Parts: sequence; C-alpha cells; structure tokens
Amino acid sequence: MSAKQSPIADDLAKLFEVAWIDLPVAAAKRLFANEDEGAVREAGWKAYDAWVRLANDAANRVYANPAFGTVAGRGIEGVLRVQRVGAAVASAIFGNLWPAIGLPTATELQALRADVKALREELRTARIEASEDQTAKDGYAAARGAEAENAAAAVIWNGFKPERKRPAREGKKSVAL
Amino acid sequence: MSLFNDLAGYWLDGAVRTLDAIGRGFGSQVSADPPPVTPYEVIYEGGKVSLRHYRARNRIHATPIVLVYALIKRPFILDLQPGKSVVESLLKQGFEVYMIDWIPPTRADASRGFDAYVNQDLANAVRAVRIAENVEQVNVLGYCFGALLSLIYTALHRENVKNLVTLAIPFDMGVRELPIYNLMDRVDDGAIELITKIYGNCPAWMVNLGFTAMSPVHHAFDKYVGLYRNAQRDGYAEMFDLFERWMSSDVPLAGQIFREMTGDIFKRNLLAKGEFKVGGRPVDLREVTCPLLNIVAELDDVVHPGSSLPLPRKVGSADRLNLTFPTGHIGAAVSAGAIRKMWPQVGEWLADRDHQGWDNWKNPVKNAD
Repeated sequence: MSAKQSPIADDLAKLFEVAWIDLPVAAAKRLFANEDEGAVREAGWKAYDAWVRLANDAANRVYANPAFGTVAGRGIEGVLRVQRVGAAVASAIFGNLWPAIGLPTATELQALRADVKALREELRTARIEASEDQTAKDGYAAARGAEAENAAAAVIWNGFKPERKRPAREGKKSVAL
Repeated sequence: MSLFNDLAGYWLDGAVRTLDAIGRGFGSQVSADPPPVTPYEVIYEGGKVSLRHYRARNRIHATPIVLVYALIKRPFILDLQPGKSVVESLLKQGFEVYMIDWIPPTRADASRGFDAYVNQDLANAVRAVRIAENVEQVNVLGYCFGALLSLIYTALHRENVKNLVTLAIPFDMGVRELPIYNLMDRVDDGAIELITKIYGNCPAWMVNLGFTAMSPVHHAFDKYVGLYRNAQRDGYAEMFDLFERWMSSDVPLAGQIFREMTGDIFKRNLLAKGEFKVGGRPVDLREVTCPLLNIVAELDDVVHPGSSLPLPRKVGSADRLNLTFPTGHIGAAVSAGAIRKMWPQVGEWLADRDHQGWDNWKNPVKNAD
C-alpha cells in the first residue's frame, strides 16, 4: 500500500477532522467559555471548504472513470442520434407531409397572420374613411335639405300657380301631329 | 435565516441567467455586451471580424498589439472593469491596442474552419492594423483558443508578426491531466459529425454545457456561497455579476473549425505533432521565428498548464520564454494580481523588443497634424 494518501482520502480526513473536532470544540467554547461566534463560523466554513474539495475530487474521479466515460460518450451519441432522427421526422412531416394533407406550416400561418393584420388595418382605415364620408354626406344632405326647403319656400313665395288644364274642345277637327 | 435566504436568492438569479443563456444558445442570439470600460472605434469589418481600436493617451511604443480573443465567448472579459482590464493596462503602458471581436457564425458559416479564420479573417485584420499604423509588423497576443489561432497565424504569416504572446494556450493535447478530457475522449468523431449535421455549428448551449461540466460543484452552488461570503467586500458583487454575464455569453463555434479543433487538435494532437494542415498547408511551428512569450496560468483548470508549457520547445524562435503566474484561466485576465504584476511584465517584455520598430514607424497622429 502506498504511504501517500490519495487526494480524496486526504480531503475526507480533513472533513472528518473539521466536522468532529474543530466544529464541536468551537461550539463548546462558545457555549461554556462564552467566546464569540466567530470561531464557530470559521470552523463551519472550514468544514464547508473541505466538503467542496471532496465533492470536486469525487466529480473528477467520476469523469476519470473509464466506465463513466464510455457510458456518457455513448449516451451523448445516442441522444444526438435520436435528435437527428427527430429532426428528420419533423422535417419530413412539417416540410412535406403536413402541407400535403392541407395543413398550413408555421411560415404560412405567419404569412396568414400578417395578411389578416394588414386586412384589419385596411378595414379600420376604410371604416374611418366611410364614417368620414358619411359625416360629409350627412352634412351635405342637411345643407341641401335646408337649401331645398328654402327653395320650396321661395317657389311658394313667388306666387306661381300652375295653369288649369283646359278641357278638350268639342267638335275640333284638326289633329295635332 | 439570512444565509439560506441570500443563497437561495443568488442561486435563483444564477439559474435564471443560465436558463436564459441556454435558451439563447438554441437560437442564433448572442447576449448583449456590458458597456465598454475603455472607449474604442471599429476600424475594420469583414468576414467574421470586427476590429476594435483602443487609442493610447500617451503612446510610447511603436508596434501596436493585436489582441486575438477566443471564438467561443464574448471578448469583454479583457476589458471588464476599471482597474481590472487587460486593455486598460496595456494602454497605460503606452501601447496602441487593437482587439479582434469575432462575429458569431450563422448556419451559413458552418463550413468555416481554421483556413477561413486564420488565412482570411485574422490575416485581413492584421493587414488593416498594418495599414492604419503604417507598420510592417504587429505584436500578436492571443488568449486561449485565440492563442491557438495566433500561433497558427504566426507560423503561416511570420513576416507580419514582430512578437508573439500566447496566454493559456491549449497546445499539447497529449497532456490529459484534466478529468473532463477523459469524457471528451469517449465522444467519438461520429458524435462530432452528428452535432454539425444537426446544428451546422456547435451550438452555444453546448459550449456552455462544456464549461459548466468542467467544474460542476463550483457552478452548481459553490460560486453562490462564495458570493455570500464575499458580499461585504467592496466591488465583489458587481464583479460577480459581470463575470457571470461573461460566463453566459457563449457563442456558437463554426462547424468546420469545431470538427478540426476536436478531431485534429484535441483528439489526435496534430498541431503539437507538427502534422496539422490549414488550407492544405502544413503548420510548421519552426516557422515561428519571432520572439515568443508563453504565459501559463499555474492554477488553470480549463487548459492544463502541462499542455501550454511545451510550446517554446517546438517553435523556431531563439528568443522564447515561459512566464508562469499563480492564477487560474480567467484570473490571468481579470484578477487584481495579474493586472498588478503579470501584465506589466508582459508590457516590459514587449517594450524590450520594440525598439527596432521606431526606425520605420511614422506616428499617424503626428502625420495627421
């Protein structure tokens, strides 16, 4: 057995040392000797640092493990293959089959939305124009109505009376051509 | 109980942020960057590159620096906060700084590989800098995946590079010290092909998952405990928010470069073996003859230091150096220690090798006057 400890064993030993010696000692001093909590806090952070080192070493060990590497490598490739098949299927369905059965694509839907939006705009403009026209027409009609009323009044005022229809003369021989 | 209340609140915020990032990753959206700390102007856009120019107030070095960021996240980590910004540090040291902001690829860019990114985009960006600065050569500084792009660019276009700085470069992938690599080894080429067949590119949510899987305990809850423990520290909460925003700023990786990166570089280690080809041309690292500074983050848990350290031995440079710094992968860019101690060393190294540039350099500002 090698005399030199592996980093992970070293970190583990440090973590135990801090968790089982430093931290309880600091807590006891705080409790019985009425020392401030700085020592406890410091021991706590020391324990945390030892734990982080341990976690890092563990992660590195996992990465360095050939079995994990093989599984992860194969996993990545597998996911990529599935993704590629998924992309191909999506492309086949949404690129060719989808339109073939008469369903619109996203691009077409977007174009349609743009068209509808443009139509709405046109309609809104047309409505505004129409309402302006109507207002103008109403104004014109009102003006013309008033004018006509005045005109009728003028006609009556002029005292014009249509001539009475003359009865046909009896015995008339001539015929108007 | 404040501990549990606060932790639960932090954890919920984080869960919402992660779900949001994953949701974005399924589509083609990319999160919005926070406001830049250092002002810049975009001087060139082409292909998948947007080239930013950060102007130094007191420029004292002739050769500009081109920062090449990684393709898989947004580059604002290099300009995160006043006092915690690589860009700011380099500007203060008197360098003119340019940064490549990679434009996220769409499905139509699935065929873009190292050839497109290095021989077209990066080459065009460096050309734009050379024209703008009226210089023959530039300093190239690459971070992580960006360092890989920078190294390949230097090997293929060495005439344009005065000095090369690589930071946290995933170079020798034969070094399998990080446990997550074991998992990656088991994902065979067929699965990589499947990813590009289904999505075109490697989707952003998958990039996010990869980062999370590297330290599951930290991402699941330890970072929230860290926030609770440091909440009283000045600026910590703000920094945490910005950092989390960056962590969820994943960008999809173009299909072809994803295949090349995972198959040729990560699994078969072709770059370190000298068998990697870009655009049909072998990438011969002996062609890298400019001075090389290789920065290695000693506590890097994304790119193992062991995979960065062998780089200087493989290049043709006579002037080559490994600079190790006790920080993590991201800490190299944002930690106060790195900004205070490491980046000034980088600036000094570049400054020592800059003097020759003055002969040919014409100060564009002076010319404008």
